[in-house]
Amino acid sequence: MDEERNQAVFQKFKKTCVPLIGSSLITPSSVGNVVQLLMELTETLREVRASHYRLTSSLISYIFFPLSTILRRNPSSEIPDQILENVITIFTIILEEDWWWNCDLRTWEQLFMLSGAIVTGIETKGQGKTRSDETKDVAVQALVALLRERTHEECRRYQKDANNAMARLAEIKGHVQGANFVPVLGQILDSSLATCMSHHLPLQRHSLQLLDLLVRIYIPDGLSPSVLPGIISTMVKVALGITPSKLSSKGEVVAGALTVMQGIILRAIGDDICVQEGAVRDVNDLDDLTQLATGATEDSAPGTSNSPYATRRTGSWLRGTASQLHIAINSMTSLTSHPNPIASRALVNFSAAILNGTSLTLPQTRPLLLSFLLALSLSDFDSVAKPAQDSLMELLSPSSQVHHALWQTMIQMARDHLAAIPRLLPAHADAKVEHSAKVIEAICALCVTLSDSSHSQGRGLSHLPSISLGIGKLLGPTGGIEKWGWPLLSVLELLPPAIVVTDSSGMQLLLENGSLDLPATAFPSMALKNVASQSTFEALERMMRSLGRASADECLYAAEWFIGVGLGGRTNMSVAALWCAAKLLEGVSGVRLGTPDQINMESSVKSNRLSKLARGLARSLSDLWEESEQEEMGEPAQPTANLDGLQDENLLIEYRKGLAPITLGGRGSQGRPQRGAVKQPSLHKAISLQLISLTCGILQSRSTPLFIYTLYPVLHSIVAEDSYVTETAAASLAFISYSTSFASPRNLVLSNFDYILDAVSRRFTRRWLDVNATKVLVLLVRLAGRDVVDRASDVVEECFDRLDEFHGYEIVVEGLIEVLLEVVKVVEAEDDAHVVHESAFKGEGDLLPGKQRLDAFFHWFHHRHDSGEEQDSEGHGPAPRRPWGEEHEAPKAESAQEKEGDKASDPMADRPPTPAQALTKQIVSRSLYFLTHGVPTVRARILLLLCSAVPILPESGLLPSIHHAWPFILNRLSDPEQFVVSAAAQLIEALAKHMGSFMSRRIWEDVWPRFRSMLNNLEAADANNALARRGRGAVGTESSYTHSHRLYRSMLKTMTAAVKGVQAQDAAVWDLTMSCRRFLSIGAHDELQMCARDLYKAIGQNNEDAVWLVLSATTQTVDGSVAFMLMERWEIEANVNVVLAGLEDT
Amino acid sequence: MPQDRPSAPAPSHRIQSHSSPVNVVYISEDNERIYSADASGLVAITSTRTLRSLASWKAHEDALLGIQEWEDAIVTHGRDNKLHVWRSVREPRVALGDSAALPGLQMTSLLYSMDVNALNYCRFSLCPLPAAQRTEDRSALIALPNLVESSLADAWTLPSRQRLHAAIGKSEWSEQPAADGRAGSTRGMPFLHTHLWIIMSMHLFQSADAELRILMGYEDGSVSLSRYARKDKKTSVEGIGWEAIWTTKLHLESVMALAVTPDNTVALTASADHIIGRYDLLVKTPGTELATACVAHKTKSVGHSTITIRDDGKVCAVGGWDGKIRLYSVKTLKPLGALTLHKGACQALAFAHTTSSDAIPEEGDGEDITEEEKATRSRWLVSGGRDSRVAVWPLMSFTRT
Repeated sequence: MDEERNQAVFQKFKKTCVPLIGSSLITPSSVGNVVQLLMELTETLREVRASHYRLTSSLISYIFFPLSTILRRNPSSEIPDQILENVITIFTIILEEDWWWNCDLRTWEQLFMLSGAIVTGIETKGQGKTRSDETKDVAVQALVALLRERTHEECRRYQKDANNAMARLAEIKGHVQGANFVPVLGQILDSSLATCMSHHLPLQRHSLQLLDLLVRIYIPDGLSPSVLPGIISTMVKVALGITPSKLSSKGEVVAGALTVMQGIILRAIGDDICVQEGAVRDVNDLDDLTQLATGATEDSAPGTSNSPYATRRTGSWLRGTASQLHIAINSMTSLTSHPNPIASRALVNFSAAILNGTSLTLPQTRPLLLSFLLALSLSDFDSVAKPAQDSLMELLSPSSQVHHALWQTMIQMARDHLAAIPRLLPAHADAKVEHSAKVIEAICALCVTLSDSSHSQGRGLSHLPSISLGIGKLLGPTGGIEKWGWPLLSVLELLPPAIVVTDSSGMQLLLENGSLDLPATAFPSMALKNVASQSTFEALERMMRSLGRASADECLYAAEWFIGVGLGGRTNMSVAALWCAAKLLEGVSGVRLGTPDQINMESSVKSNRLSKLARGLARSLSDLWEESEQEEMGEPAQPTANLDGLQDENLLIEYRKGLAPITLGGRGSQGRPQRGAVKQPSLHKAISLQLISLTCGILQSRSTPLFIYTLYPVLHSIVAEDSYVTETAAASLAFISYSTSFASPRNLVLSNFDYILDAVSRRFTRRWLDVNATKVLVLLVRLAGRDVVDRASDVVEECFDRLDEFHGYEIVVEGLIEVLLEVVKVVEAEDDAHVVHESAFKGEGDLLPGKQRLDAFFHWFHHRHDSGEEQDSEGHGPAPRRPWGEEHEAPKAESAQEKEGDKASDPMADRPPTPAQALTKQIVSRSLYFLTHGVPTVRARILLLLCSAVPILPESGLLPSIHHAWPFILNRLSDPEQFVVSAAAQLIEALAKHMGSFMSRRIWEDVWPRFRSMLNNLEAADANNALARRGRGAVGTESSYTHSHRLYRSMLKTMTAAVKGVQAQDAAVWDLTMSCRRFLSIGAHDELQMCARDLYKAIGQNNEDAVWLVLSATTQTVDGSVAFMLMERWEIEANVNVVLAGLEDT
Repeated sequence: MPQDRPSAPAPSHRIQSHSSPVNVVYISEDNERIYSADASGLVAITSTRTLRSLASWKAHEDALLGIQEWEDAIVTHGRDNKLHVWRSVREPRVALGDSAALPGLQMTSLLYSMDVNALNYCRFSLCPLPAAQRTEDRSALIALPNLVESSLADAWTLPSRQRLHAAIGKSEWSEQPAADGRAGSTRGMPFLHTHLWIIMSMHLFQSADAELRILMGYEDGSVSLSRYARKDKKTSVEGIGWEAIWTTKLHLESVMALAVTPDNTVALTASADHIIGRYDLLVKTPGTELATACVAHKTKSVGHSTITIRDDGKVCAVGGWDGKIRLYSVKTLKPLGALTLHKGACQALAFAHTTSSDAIPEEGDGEDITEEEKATRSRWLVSGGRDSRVAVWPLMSFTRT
């Protein structure tokens, strides 16, 4: 079977080998043929190999023969690259296979020399041409195949023992390391260093592979120190991509280079070999120590020095090399951010291996390598981060030899990096800052993982406190925070973000429509002045957080220190301090400020110390809002001075980077504090709000008692002018309600309105009037509605007291009146507050026949002195109408009331005012004085306020005030401002509507004459108004939102109510009927037409004839005597018909 | 006012529990609860931590005259001639299961009540007995106006509601009335009431030698200190056994309020006039000493409706009809400052109590409030006014440093 197969394979090879021998002498004409044959042979070999057929040695010899013939018969310069390539490829394939195991060393050496010659270019020396990269690549591959150690799997495949492979490798190694061979080796080494800089990627890759093999296995111990510098410098170049090809290094290449470096470093300067040669000493036990103490410098081990090319490892050599090596490794820092995970992983392995292998020889490189590992352990790629963490854990676990040294280094690194950040930040060295931040973060993360793992596995328990303690020490009382804190704060200059993305609804809209169910928004982020990239800023944030997380309660000292600084002022330094404190606390507590969806609330048990700090913090932060107003008022000059300073600085049009400008003399010393004293009140507010939210996040449901203090600042900031503060406040509110498990911010406010009210009321005192407090109150009244109103009376009273005192200040007055208006609106919205004012008059004269009317008069005449109150409440009280005859029962009812005290049963008596009514009454009576306020908007607002109060108040409460203020109200009708007039008309309308009988006389006597002249004026004014309706007979304006439209409407409604209310003099009615005709025109606004129809219907109830006459005469010629009334251009026919039809129906 | 003195504070909080004039305020011994009561009979208990009502109920049909927490009970005294004793209300344990649910108002229940005479607006005076003297039905004495005669006082026991002493002050009527109070006192004789002036205010206490004493302020502006001299009988009727130690009249108008230091050494009275009377209660015998022991201090304000003394006996607060609260030193009656908020008369004042810091720290919720906050709270003054406002004032300690 085997025989048969051997034969078959042999036949296959024979087909190509025979003609190959035939054309072994290469002529230009035969090149193509030879190449063809060689390729066929290669193909056949690959096929055979794929079929797992093992070439016998005879077959190998058979194949080898034609190839060797070609090489022998032609001078190497004559052999074209293509042929050489193919020949060597075939060698490689065979070597990969069985040949490596059994070819004799001479053949092996020949092949080695051949490939080596091609790689080094010796073979073509002096002939002015070099082999192509492809050829060299093939040669390098052949070398690799020659030198490579075989894996266990391969051993199995070739049914060889692993020992066989070892033996064979040792054999080859022995041969290579032989004194004669070393120069060859050096040559190969040199040329492969050259080829690995090639831009031909396969060549580069294979060269690195070759180098790795050489360095790892074949270079003698003595030689490795000699080749170390060269290899390292080349490899650094390769890894960093500083090759002549200028291409950035591929991940695989970087990995290869790092592996080579790792190999040579460990070989050349590793602990083991150096200890062995006496360059360093390993002190492991007492004996070692005594040896060290006795200082017995034993002679360095001989033996190794006999090699001619060897370098001796001595102490001075070590020092020199180590520092050079450090520089080289240092230059690879940028590799930590290599985008390719393969490269990063290689760096992990490299760092870990070097750390593990050179703890004695390269102590100064340790932090560097650790920093690589740490930075990589935070990589986004899990495939990088995980190995990095694992190797760190491995290195730091007690089982590792180097962990003592590493721990110390680690803490020192944390310290150093922390100290470095203040230097790097102003230099705009983003990358370095980010690196430092990441290193610190990684160290802290390591502590956390270690402690976690120790909890879960119980390993390293004895060990873990040391690092946490270390970090804790850094942030604790003995950490010297005063030393590193100030520099850090002085360079952390926070800025508000350039753009604040506000929700489309916005806070101002919130004031309009009262919805507080905001969508949960994230806290708007800040930016650092000295940091351009967001990622660096985030790295700094994460750094602070992880510091907090790692040191747990220890860092509360630092947090307190930061808070202390932060609360000391409102400068950028305080902002930075609060920022640091916030991040530390976030770390300690595990609470992260974000949108509620993102919050990952860890239900970890918060320590007492933390809770205590949080509580104190919430209070002291809230106190800031108490001081703020005074402070802002107190120092108006300060900001301008700073502004000047800033402008001075800005005059220099240059981008200063890195170096701080030094000016000699006094000015220089002035410069710095000025920079540190830029006030950032809004940023300070925002960060304080964040901290407040954070405390709520920490305390969760236990923070509810703190709402006394914390809620007001948040609400106050929601109505602030700065959109950044507003947005932060909105986010805070959402966060707070989430963390204290309220369903929505609205619920939060509703449940705690008493606290807010309390806070507001404190800000309405004479000594302290906060204009924004009025806005908060408006917000609150809108939200909480009647509950607030019931308890707000003394706040309202304070409002008025302040109004009295500050009536000259428009902004205060506006704010306060807004509150009052809001209160009245809320009261109005309540159902039970409505008082039914019944219109009294229904044309008595017509209803009762003459005799009865007279009787009624007499009856009234006799009883008119009965009781004032009775008279007052007569007819328009909330009582149902009753016949006149029952009038005398009223006193009885009164006595009954006295007896029973049951006031509700007595319809004639005024019910005691509800708190809301009392409040409204209070508002009305006190706001009347503002009817003559100098500012027109205030006048209009007061009128509107009264207008909304009319439907709410019982007459006994309202009428005296109105009576008192009547002249003022009336005078508003001749106010120079249109909107005041319109507001006054609205008030009169409301009065007429709700208390007609009281008003009608005043209306006919006082108001109507004014209205009439106003109507005339407006008619004239409309002609010139741009908004006026166009077209024939048009009346009023197009829009229903103009003042003139409102005015018309109010007038019509007022007069309707007046007509209904009282029997007027005929002359006046006639006048009215004549004046309002034009509103029936179909050219008028629909609403006005409707009002006008109502008016005419109302007039028609009393005086149908007049209406008929006027309307008919306007539309058509009724009679010559009334022809003057004809106004056809108004086109009022349609409405006239409606009105007349309506009148006929009744 | 000198520049170096800090300006008077604004109230730190307002309690919005009342819609009628507030007549009474009181702070519990541990400073945890503020009691306030108004003219409509509504009593509200407010937690000093959350400043929210713990309970609010209509205790009386008419205005409250007095309220006091006594161990596990609350004593309320109203103008409806009732004295009720209620079960006290405690702060609920914070948020079970960390839920944010707000605890609702608690209900209190009536333990027992007494019919009393409240015609003269005179508040009761409670004197808890020391532990050694307590029995099952007698753990405190309470002084009330006599059921029939408003110018006399009765002393009852609680909780058994037994009248121990009846008509205190009556026995002196039978003696020869002096023509004039001042003359009487100069003769070394106790001043005797020539008219039936009603009692406006009183204070029942036990002196250092466990003798029962009562200090009474009268409508005519006089104040008298009486003691129960009989050792043999525990009870008395018709005021027998009670003898006046001294009587003096410093005020021109009726005594509106009376306050005694916790150690019962000094009493102060406020009146409708501009005088504040200061009485040294340690004076045993009337005589020349009395003139120095009872001093009328003239103030610059007229019309004082209430007075209270702080626990340390150093500072007193006087509420005026003008709504101002004036602080004075108890020793010298030197004005310390004025607090302005109330629009109507300030009718009720109460100082928080100085709690000793070495008291047993509460476990569990003890960290809800820091020592510092506790210290601040112990300097609170609570005021209630006719304008139905209750305000909390954080005061400075007034101690010299």
